[in-house]
Amino acid sequence: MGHDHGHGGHGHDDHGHGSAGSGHGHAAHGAGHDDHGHGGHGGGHATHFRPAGMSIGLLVFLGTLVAGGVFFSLGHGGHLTVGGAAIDLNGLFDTPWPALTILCLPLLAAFVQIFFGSRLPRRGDWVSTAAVGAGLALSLMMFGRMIGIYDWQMERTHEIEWISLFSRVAPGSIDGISVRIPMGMLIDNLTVIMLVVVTLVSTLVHVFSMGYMADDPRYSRFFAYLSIFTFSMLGLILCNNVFALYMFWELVGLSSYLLIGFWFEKKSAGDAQKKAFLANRVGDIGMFLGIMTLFLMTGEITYKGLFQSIADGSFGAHIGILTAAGICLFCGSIGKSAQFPLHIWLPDAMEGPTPVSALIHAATMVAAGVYLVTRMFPLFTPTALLTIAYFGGFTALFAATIALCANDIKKVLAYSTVSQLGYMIMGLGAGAYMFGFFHLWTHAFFKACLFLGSGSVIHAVHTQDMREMGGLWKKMPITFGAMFVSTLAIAGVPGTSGFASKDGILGDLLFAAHHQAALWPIVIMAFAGAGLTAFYMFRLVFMTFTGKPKIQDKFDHAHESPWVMAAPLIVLGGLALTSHYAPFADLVGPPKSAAIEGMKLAGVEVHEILPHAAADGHAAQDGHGAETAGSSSLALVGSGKDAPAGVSTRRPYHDPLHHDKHHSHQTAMVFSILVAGTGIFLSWLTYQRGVISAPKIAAALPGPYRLLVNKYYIDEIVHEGFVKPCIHIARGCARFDLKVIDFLVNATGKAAVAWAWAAGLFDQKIVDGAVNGTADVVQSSGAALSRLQTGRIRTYLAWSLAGAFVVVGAFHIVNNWTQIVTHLTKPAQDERTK
Amino acid sequence: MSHLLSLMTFIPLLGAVIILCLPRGKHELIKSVAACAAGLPLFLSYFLWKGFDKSTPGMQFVEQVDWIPLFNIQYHMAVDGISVVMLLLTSVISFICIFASWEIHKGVKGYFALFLLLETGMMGVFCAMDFFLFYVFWEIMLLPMYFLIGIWGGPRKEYAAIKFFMYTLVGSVLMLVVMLVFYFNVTDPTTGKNTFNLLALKQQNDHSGLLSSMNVRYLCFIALFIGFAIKVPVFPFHTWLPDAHVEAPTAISVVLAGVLLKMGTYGLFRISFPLLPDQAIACSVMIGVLGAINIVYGALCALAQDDLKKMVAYSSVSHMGYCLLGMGAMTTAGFNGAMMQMFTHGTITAMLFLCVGVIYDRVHHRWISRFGGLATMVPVYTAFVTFAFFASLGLPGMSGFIAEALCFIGAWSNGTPVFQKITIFSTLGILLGAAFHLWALQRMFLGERNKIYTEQYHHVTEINGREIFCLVPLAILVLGVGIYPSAVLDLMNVSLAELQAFIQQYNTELKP
Repeated sequence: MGHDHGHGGHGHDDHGHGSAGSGHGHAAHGAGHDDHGHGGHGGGHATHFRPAGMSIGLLVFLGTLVAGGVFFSLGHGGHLTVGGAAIDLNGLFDTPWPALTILCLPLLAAFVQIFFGSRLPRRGDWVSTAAVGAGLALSLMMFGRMIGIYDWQMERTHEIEWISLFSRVAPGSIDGISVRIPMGMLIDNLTVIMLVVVTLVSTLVHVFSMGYMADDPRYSRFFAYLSIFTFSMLGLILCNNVFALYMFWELVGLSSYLLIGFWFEKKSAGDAQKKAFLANRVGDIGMFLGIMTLFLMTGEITYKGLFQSIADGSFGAHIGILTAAGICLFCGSIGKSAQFPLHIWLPDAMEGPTPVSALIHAATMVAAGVYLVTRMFPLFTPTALLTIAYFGGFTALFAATIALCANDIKKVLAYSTVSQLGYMIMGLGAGAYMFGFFHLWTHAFFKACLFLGSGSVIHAVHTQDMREMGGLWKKMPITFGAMFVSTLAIAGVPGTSGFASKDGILGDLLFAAHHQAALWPIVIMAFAGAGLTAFYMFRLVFMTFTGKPKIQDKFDHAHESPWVMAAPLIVLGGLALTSHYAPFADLVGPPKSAAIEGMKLAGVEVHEILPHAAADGHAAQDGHGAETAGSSSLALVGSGKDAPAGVSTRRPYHDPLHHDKHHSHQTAMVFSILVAGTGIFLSWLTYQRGVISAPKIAAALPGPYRLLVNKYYIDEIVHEGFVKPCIHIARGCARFDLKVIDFLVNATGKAAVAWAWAAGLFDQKIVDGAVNGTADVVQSSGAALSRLQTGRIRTYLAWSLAGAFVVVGAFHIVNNWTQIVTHLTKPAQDERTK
Repeated sequence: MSHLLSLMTFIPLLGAVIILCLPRGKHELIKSVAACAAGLPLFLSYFLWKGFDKSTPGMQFVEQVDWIPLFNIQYHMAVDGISVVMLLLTSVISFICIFASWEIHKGVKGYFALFLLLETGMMGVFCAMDFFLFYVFWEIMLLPMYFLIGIWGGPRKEYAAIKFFMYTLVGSVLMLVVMLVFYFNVTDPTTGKNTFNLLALKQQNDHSGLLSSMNVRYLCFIALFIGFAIKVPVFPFHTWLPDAHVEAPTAISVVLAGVLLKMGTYGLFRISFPLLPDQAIACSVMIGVLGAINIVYGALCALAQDDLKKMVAYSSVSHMGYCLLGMGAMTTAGFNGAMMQMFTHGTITAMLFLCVGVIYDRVHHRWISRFGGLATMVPVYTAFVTFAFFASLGLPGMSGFIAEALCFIGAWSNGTPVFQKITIFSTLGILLGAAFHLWALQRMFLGERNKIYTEQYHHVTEINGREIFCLVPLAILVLGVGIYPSAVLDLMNVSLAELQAFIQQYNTELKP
């Protein structure tokens, strides 16, 4: 499969010439670094010297690329001519409709599926797939348009009023607004990139599921849930304020809950879905507190408003609160992106169908935490960022060690996901803003590929235990090929997408560590984690695909998956090798906000290497960058921020620190190739050649081995330390309620009854002796109700009235007494009368 | 329609009278009359909603005539933003409850007559602007409820009914005392007479005599608060609620949790806060703390329950805690959140109790641990329960989330350190709420069928059309309000802003 790599450098091709109706016009492909790789580079020369299966694979990939490229270049051109009428494609961003269409189609599909799914032909799978496919087409157009505009500062907001609460300063005064929560969309580079990630992986997973879930009795329900998820996830990335973010954040949690427990007949699935939701809720509580704090301090809820308010110094001297709010927000990421110590839900979430693991628990939803940190980056203070980096770095290493000893193919991938998410978060925390986000992009494709590949394997051999596999590459060459290139990517082999992004993170991290000594431990964790990743991923490949079959029966029945499953694998495998050609560095740039100025105002020491935009919204113009990178690096032409997203204002971002970082990146590259190579080599020695015996090592180190196999006992600790005590407390509360509070209530009641009975006796014997007999009859007749009701209630009513008058009298006395006291002590000074 | 409120209040009473005149055996006829008598107010509530002017905090649809001139007691009905929301809720819930009661076979005549009388009481409480009238409606509400639990309830119905009655009566007595204190110590300057008019009683300058004393005012507030707290119910006065719910028939549980609990918080908004704003400020921390206790303690108790209905009852305790939290905060966001929670809890808890009723009608028990694997047998019912559970645990997109979020935002923006601690403590409720709902969902519906109690599965049948008919309008309300909360918020917003500003005048710690 290495041949695919050979096509990697097609970057300088112009893209999508073949696209009908795309008036390229003055779209100017001029820029030399314009090397985004969605062009239709000719498929012909690749096909004639490859075996048939490979060439079909390549054709699928290229066909998809061409189809994608058509939409991409449609957007890129900026104009669309339909029947002679030119449509200005800037409307992709300037009007809310394209984004709304992307958002709402899956929702619509979900409704159709839920109510009519089982009655539709093919049980409605095409409804969901078409909805997300249309979204993908639009997203690619937007992506193309964004690259056509080539302006990292491009952003458009569309919002409506949603909640606005009045408050009044005094009764009868004019209403002022105390809480204003808009609903809206923010479309900028981050959004568009995320749109492509989500719709692309989602579409491929939909297609894959047509094969994988074909025999499931709840087939249409599955697609409905996928659609609900896609809707929620798109909402999460499109919304323009933290409140809406939180809402969609929980909604993706719901779809995750529904899909993890899709096979709810299994108890383990039920446990896993509950665990996932609750672990996420723990994080969400922190996130909500963070949102409320930000809102309380700034009165703003939209991203832009928040950042602007912070830049203006709304936190003033209370910058510690901003740090706290940032860490609180990050709690949401800890939950959603499965960072230590809330990572425990993700491995269990593998109970869900494998396409779900690929879409939700690898590529998109779990990356939402990373997206959150990216989106909120400007408001994290340096302290908060350091905390984030430590969480990420620790998780990256920690999860990688667990993956070493896992034998369930999906569990290995799950821990690898946790570890990779740790990388992204660590990168962001260390200030590798662009590369952290870049890793989200590349990881989405190769990890989705790995999961779908594992699904293909599970589909073939009906087991998840890698010890029962082996030698499968002969039986399933496409699956093997796709998974192999993805493994290369995740292991960080040069030339793959994973290498580009991971190496970027490591380089930036190393660079940052030179300026901030506290980052050095993280550097060590990061490189160690990289080596381990290479080791355990190749362990997976060797155990699954090479060597001799462990269980002959399973091997004999294994088969390559049908095309509907293989094609997504091919596309994702191709992307694992090529996705890093997207012009990320130019288009992501630094955060678009100057919130950091507010921190400086508050006296926080902010190191200049932190990526940030200056107060006017441009890139940091620190002397550092200016002198080394030269004036051209800051060639942010004009201040055309308010100009329409036309093609004339092309403002790619150039990192002013580029040259400074160069050295660190080189060092990082050498080291990362070294550790990855070592990991792969050791893995090869152990699992391919059998030179090193894993069982012997395990036997020699029983303590650490047991620790790893039991995942550091975190699950047990959480269960014994939190879940059980919580249930004990709950039972205690319930007992207290029954035995203490209710007992007191009943005792009071009984006392009152006794009193009433005495009164009743008095009534009966003295006053009302004549009707004594009647009352007895009523009592003995067993009409319990009339006994309880009429007699006593009338008595109580009488008593209550009498009591009322007594109490009123008591009030009088109390009042007089107070007045007497006040008279005696000092001149009558009543608060009410002054 | 100037008599809209009177019509909405007394049409059910008229229905009750008609039902009493009907022959005993004509069940269908009785039920149809009941449906009409509850349906007409619902129909009229549309005009109320349409005709209500959202932009003013003043009283609307006012009807004011002398009733007992000797004591200057007036028949004074009116609504503002606070009442109108509750009134709409009441008309919806009552109408649905008629259909939820369709399977009642014992004492049909009495049941529906009492139910309609109950509706009159509820409507009246939300419309009355005269303290005495309020009290009268409050008491009218009490008796039918007592009989409805005591006659049509479960095995321990007498115990539950008497407990409910006694508890509420204690509250009534306390309210009565305060009412008299106010009556004798406030003179309406326009008439020169003592008054029960709530709008006149609100004028702090007219408070004289006993009410000049801070101690008396404090005692009055506490007495009123206990009276309303019993109804809410606030810890530690809540133990009547699980018993009443467990024994009450489904529809009565629905109306009890859906509307009657709101009487307590409504009373605080309508009477305690406006009449004694200085004491409301003074007691705000206490209210907030009790709210937090309700939230967490209620959720913990719910977690430990094995009786599904008891779990839902404790979840009500927990949810009403959010109301208190928002009210105690004394901020607009908090007030709006509290009112929103009252509305939304009314709809969500109604769904929950209806769902409990569905399974109870089939297998005649509610032990969570005896179920298992119901999802494969009754998927539609499972879908409704899941919907209701997620609404109840505050999933965004449903109305419960908006209410909880606003309560939290309100409490948080109170700004004082003590309220921040209360809020942080209360957020535990989000987690515990999710925990007990999901755990119950798993134990009842997911996994495999229970291997010990296999007999029950013969009786498990899918939810029927009547039950769906009851649930769907509520589901639509929950979703609709969750997606567009301003539909409800706008109704009450201005009134609450006015009330909040009125109370804050008496906040001596208010920073300039």
